[in-house]
Amino acid sequence: MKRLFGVFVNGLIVENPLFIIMIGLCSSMAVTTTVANGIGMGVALTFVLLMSEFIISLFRNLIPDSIRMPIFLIVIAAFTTIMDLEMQAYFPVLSKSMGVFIPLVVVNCIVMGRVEAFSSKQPVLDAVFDGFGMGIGYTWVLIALAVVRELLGNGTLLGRQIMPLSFTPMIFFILPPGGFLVFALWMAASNDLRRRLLAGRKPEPTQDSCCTLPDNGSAEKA
Amino acid sequence: MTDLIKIFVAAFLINNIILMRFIALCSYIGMTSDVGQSVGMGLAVTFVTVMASAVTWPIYYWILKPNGLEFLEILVFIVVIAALVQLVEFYLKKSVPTLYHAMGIYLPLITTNCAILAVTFDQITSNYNFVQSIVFAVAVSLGYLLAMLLLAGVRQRLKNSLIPAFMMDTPILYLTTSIIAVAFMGFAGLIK
Amino acid sequence: MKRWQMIKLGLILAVYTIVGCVGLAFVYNSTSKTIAQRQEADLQAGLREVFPKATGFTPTDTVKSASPTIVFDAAYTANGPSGSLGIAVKVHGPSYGGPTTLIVGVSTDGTITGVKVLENKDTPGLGANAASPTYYVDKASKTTFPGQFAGKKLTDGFVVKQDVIAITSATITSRSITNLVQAVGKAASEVLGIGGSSPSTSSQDPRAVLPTADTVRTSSKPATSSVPGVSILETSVGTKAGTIVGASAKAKARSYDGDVTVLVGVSTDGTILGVQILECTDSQGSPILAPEFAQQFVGKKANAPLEVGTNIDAASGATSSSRGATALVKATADALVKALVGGGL
Repeated sequence: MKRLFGVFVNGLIVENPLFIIMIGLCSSMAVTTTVANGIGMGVALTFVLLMSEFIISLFRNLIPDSIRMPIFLIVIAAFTTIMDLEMQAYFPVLSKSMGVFIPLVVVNCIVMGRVEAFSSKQPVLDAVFDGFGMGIGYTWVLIALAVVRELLGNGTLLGRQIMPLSFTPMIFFILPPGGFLVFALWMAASNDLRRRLLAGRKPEPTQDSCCTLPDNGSAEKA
Repeated sequence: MTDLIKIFVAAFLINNIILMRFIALCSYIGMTSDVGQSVGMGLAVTFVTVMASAVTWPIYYWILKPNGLEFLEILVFIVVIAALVQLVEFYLKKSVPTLYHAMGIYLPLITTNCAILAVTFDQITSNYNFVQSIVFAVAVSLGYLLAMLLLAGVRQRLKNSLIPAFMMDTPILYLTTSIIAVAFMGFAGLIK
Repeated sequence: MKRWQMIKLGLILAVYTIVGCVGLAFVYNSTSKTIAQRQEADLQAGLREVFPKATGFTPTDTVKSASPTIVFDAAYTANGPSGSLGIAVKVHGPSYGGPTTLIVGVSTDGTITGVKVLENKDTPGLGANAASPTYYVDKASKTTFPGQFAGKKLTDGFVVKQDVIAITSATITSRSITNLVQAVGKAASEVLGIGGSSPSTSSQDPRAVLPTADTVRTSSKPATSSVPGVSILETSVGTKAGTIVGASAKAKARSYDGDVTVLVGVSTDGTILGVQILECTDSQGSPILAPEFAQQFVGKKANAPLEVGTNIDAASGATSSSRGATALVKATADALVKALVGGGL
């Protein structure tokens, strides 16, 4: 039980996909102009991640190593399509406002990265907890970004007016540059906190395999 | 002709895929520590994006749509792009080794590059015809290359700059990007 | 052995693909009905919103879009207790982040009854505010962006930032929606037989630009323009008590991204007697249809230079179209003067 909790917290904070491993960033800034979109995207990704990790962990002994990549892609694409269709059917407004970022979950490095690094080697229960932890870890960061952007950029939270009406919304925060800025500041805060907590101990370098070349630069390994 | 130019300018500058649409950010941060590397990645993405568009457009309009299989779009597109990247890699390795050494090492990263998939989806949602799709693909990937090159250039300077401790590493890159994005906002008025 | 291995891998891959596709087909089947129902419900709700008093809607195919980029998906006649209330059109056209779909209602008296945004893919928090029920262009009266069109006359101006309040930082979205509303308004007014959204369609009579003539007849030998791209459609001659006092011509040429058609009348001494801008299909060109723009030409000499910015003021928001129209007026007037001097009329 303690181990499973560790796996869960790992995704939530220790190896937070956005702040620490720094993958799956695209959607995190694009949809966080409103808190509702942030939550919607978080739930959508958590669903795809959880289901993909579950299925791949379940069948991990039936997936030949040499063709694992195409199989992962098929599984992830299938769950992304299911999520896309369900969103269109039951949350049409949310689905429309997120546009192309819903189908793009299929190439979200978080999903591919976790499936490859974790669930293809771990038992089902661990994989599910990992998927859940990573999904929630992704979602809370989205909400953190969206709260700042919606509050300052539109004066509202979840569509409700929070700031006094005399407050002129700073549209900059909703525009793309504002997204980059808010993310940079949140990340700086998170890094600073981490540096203090680790107090001089060098943090383990985290390398993701889907966006950067491995150190030896060989194509075969990547 | 005017509509093609409009599509090009809009996709290249106004809706720059990285700076305005936040797509393909991983490789934007991951592959710009060196100018040569950023150009190599940018060219590889351009090459694959154009090829992928040339393949996915006919698949969608000639196979998926007439058979009512639009819901397989995501699955088919990602598998086709993955297979295409593999083929290109094989071909370059065997036939054009020089090009393979310049570009090939980036190919494995490209399968999961959001930019390519985003371009192919956008072409469908925008109802582009084949020629428009190709122009769109070229424009988006050149926009990608431009943004990569800009950040790589700035990073050369950042290496020798004094940066506040809490902004070190990635945060300063996003801060820089924010400023570049502000500059790109100025392109918004280019097309009425 | 190696070949056997390949076949085995291929088969495994095929099994995963087939299972995936079949699974998706099931999900698609169950959701597609819900999606279709929801779209239908959205459409019905949208129609009700623009015609709250209608008892029913009958599909009609009489309303036609004049622009290739603006597509009318469906059009309905709104039935009231006593006859037709007007026309509602589901329309889509390009916007900033992809196609935007609207429902626009036009009443029989030439008023826009309402605009409902069904689909908009523009930037969340900016362009997407067009569809938000809580984004107000006028906070005091709680008017949403599409809400401001309700009650607007088709004869009113449709220039964004002038007649239409734009969504903050989303001028392109505001413009494209306004264009769609205007396109529906124009098409619907033709079907409903209302006197047009532009003052132009009211009169195409050459008499209007030849006020000094008592008889106007169509010329047997049309004037021709030496300016490339200008086509003179019909030429008329105005006479007073048997003597020629002037000539007029209807001419058409390319403008900014569409065509512009003008009617120009010139007296025998080379003075412009009257100008009407009959049509302008430029995407932002409607402001030049205002009579004030055409009025500027009257009294000017045809052989003098006519230039936007120097002696002609551009219609606001449509500088390019103003230039196009001015060049065409100049070319037509020149052609008429030449024809009058040559006496070939």
